Amino acid sequence: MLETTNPPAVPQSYPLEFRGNGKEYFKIWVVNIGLTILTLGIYSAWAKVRTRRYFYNHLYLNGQTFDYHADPIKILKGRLLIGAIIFSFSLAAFSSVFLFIPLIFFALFPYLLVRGAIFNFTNTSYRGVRFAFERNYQGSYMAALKAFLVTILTLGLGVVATNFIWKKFIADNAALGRSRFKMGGSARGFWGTVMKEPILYGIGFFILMMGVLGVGYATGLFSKEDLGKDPEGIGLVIGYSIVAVQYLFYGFLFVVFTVRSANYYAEHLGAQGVERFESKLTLWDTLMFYAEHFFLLIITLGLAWPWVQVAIMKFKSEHFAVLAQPEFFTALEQAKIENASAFGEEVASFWDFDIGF
Amino acid sequence: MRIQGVLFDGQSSKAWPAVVQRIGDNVILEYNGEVKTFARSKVTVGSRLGSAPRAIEFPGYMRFESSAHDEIDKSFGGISSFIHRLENDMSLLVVSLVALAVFCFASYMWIIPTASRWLVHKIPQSYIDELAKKTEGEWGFGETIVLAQPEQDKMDAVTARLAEKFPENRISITPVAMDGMANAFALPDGTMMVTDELLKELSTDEVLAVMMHEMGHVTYRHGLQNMAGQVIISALLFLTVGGSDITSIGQTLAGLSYSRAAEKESDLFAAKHLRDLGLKPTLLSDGLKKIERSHRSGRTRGSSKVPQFLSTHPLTEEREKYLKEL
Repeated sequence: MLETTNPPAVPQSYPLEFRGNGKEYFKIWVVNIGLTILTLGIYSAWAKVRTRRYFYNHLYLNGQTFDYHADPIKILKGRLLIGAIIFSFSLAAFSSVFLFIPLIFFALFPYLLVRGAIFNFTNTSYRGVRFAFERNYQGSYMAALKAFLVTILTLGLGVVATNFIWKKFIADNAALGRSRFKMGGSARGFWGTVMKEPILYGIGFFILMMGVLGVGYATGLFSKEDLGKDPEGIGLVIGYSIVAVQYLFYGFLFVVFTVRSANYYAEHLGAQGVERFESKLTLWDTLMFYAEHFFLLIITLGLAWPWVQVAIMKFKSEHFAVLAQPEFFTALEQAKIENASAFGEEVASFWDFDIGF
Repeated sequence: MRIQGVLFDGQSSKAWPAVVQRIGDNVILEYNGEVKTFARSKVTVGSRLGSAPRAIEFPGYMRFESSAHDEIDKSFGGISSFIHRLENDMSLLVVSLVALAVFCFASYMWIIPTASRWLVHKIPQSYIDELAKKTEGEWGFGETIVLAQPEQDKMDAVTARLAEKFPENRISITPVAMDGMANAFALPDGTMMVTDELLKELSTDEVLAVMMHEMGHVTYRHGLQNMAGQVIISALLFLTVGGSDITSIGQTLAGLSYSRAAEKESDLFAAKHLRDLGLKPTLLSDGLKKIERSHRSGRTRGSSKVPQFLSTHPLTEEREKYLKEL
């Protein structure tokens, strides 16, 4: 009533900030692995919760942190169930039932995805308000059908767009309390933004490689006879260098995908009460970042893994911001909190499918 | 002791300044001019984790957040600080790291091989026969062919001698063609395959030696052991680190190392049985060298020298060395 005369406040930018540090997380990581081994794997469920909590609890938005509330017992039950299923499947590997496993998996995947999303979202909170996910099985099966058709009709070229289809399904059914998320954009737009560059780079790379080989053969630097006569010498060096260059190129494409897709999603994501989201990743910075940390992992034989995880989280969050009115943060309302088992989430994480934003 | 913090009331995201106090079996919460009392058993105190603020949760999704860790520990204590102490105790950390290293080593050396051997001998023969039927159809080890007479004679002679040596086994060798390359395989059910080129290049005794090596794979059920080992490694990795690209490199390297161990076991098996027949174990390495040569000059120029740790088989020189020493 009193505010009606005031001009509408200008939305402000609230950056995400991750305040964890590698040394702290390293200790948690080691204790997690140690206790998991000592308890023959049982502690792994607690370890998973502790790890997530570490990352959520140190992630700040406008002075407050996120939290993760999953019950480790539920995760343990989910894991035991998966273990039992995989064990019986591996026995089934010796009978014809095995042929049906992919079918069963594809038939159940959309259902499990929704169950997993409900588990993940309702167990995540910000400022005492839980995230939520709608029980939209029909939408999930439609998304699966769409993803399948897009892949088939484009002869596999559109497979990248399925990433958008799933992210859109998840965003459109997710909420923070009663504030719904919404994903704009289109699969085609996403494909154009994310794929145009990699295809050009791919063609360029192919031409470059052909050129190098052509020049090599033309100048007799590596002639066919040499390759045949001396498979251990120059042939081996060339073979391994080609493989190495190829992998570096795949790494490069991965970074291009990460940067372009993160920016596309942020630009098209909306939420009630939020003006917009901002992702300011640039290709060069991200490339340098990943190159550095990949190198770090190699020279420490993987022991730097916890530091790298923390660094990735820091890097991603410092490039992400929420544009909103200050009132947004105090006006969120709690919605009904659903109860779900952890099975869907555990199946998804077993297949490396990340349910979330 | 009064613990200062903020309260989210479970209905909205508004933060209220609040104070929590533990008095005996009760927890007292003050916010927005109200004072509420809860039984200690109804209140969940989050464990300490790094430097993050900690939550004390009350019924009805009411959530009190505070960074006053020492005060919370003093008032509530308990298991929550036990794990945190572990995480901050350097000596325990070192012990954990050593335990981790020992466990990886033990898994690699004993746990995985023993478990997969145990698992494999639990599998009934009928399953194995069915699996073999499928792999034969799906993987395609080259085309089944009719051999020229000299090769057919060689194969018949080898089959007869194997049948005599292993009367309890059903010996069946199928001739196949693979782009002019010499090679031989064994399927889990005991069916063995040999290419025409191998029969052409190797002497009868050398073919016998190579087929005895394949009999070794069949007897020890190596193919199945390898599959079982992969399942066990995946399960262990999933439980401990949740799986990642880096661990899959380790998994591949370990798998290759087991594969080389299996080859050696089969080599020794062949050597022992060749001796029983009064033949020299080095017949096997002679045959292997000819096979290797056929790969190098073959149309697929694939087999340049790969370092041993990246290879499924031990290096041929290495195999020759231990066969000579027998």
